[in-house]
Amino acid sequence: MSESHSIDRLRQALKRLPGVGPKTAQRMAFHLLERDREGARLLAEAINDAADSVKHCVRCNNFSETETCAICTSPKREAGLLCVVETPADLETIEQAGAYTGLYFVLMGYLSPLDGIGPDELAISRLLLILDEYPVTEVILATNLTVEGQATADYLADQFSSREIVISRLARGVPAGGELEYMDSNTLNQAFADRRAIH
Amino acid sequence: MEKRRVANEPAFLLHRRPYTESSVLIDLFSRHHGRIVLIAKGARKLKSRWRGSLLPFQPLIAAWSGRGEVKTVTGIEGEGPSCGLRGKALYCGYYMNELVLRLLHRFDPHEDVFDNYANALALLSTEEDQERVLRIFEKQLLRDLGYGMHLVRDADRGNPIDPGERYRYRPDAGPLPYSDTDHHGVSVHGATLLALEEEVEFDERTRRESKRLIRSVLDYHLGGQALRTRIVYGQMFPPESGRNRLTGS
Ligand SMILES: [Zn+2]
Repeated sequence: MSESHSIDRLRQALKRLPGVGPKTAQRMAFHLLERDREGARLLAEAINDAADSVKHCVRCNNFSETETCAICTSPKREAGLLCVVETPADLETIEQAGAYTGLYFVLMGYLSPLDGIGPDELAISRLLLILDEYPVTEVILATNLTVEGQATADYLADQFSSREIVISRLARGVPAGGELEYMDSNTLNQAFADRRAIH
Repeated sequence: MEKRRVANEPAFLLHRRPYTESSVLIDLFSRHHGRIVLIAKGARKLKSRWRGSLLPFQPLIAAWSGRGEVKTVTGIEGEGPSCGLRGKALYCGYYMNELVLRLLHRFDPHEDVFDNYANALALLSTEEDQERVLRIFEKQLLRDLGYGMHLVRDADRGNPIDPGERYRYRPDAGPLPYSDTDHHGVSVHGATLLALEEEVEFDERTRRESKRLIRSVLDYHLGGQALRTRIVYGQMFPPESGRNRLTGS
């Protein structure tokens, strides 16, 4: 065993990334050491920096370097609308689409009993405090349309039921550009159930 | 050695987790091949035909290939509508999935367990007594895996269980006549053991006793490792709220 301790540590560290197995970790480690020392130092610095300075926004729970993030402090956003999403990536996707003008709340996950993730592991008590504190009139439950995402939305709707707020859920059905022939039956059935009169 | 290609296989999805940016890793419970781990390539992409079919609690027809421990999905689609579990029934479903994940070995087919699982799922969405559905599934599961409970004769002399008598049920032995000096095992009435055996309607005492009884037997076979779905269920439906609902307060 002449393998260096540092290389092994790097490999173990890279393996912690999602989707990275032992082989990929080794490839990444060797790439950084063989061809890109500069990149390796940049990566180390960026990770260190982010791990130290990124916190959660006190209002929307998204990652933020300031106590309250830029979206939450923007005067252009509609304060009465609150869109609940599972992850920062979901928020980012909605922002890029550009049509939504309200505020957000990021749960940082979804109810997943088999992974041991229940209400206590998500930021649900924080969300209830936000509803007490701010003048929210509508909560849009934009959790994923998976069984777990739906369960999370059901649970939240139940928690909000005693409050005087509108609770809505994203519409589901045929995606833009979707051809019926290639639609799975669940999506198609849901599209029928949620059909809308146009005339 | 496992066959390389399998097609038209009835299955249920037990669990899924993201694997790479476009793929998911799924645990399937198949009728003829038991529990299998598969990778569904491209299933997270918008265009994937499988995306809407990778749902738990829905009868599926699956196809896969591969020689290794982890197979590759070559086709998967829903067969008939989803069981549509909502509320408490949904969490009962997750609990059943965890039992299957924890107690069945990979590639170990159990058609009887599969059929009982499918049946219990269907009952969860229709029957009101979800606890009874779970208890009977658990009893059948233990039996089909070779850990069958002793419900008709005592483990001491093999005397028939008397519905009016009390017993101490020991997970490693079975029901022993009740004694005040021996505190091993769970205290149950004979009527509870017989109700489980005959799968009749449960009264309140049977419900309470059978829950404690089977929990102790399952814990024994699970080696003391806590069931995650049980902990989450406790968070979702705290015992107090259940009591309030029952008394209408
Ligand atoms: Zn914020």
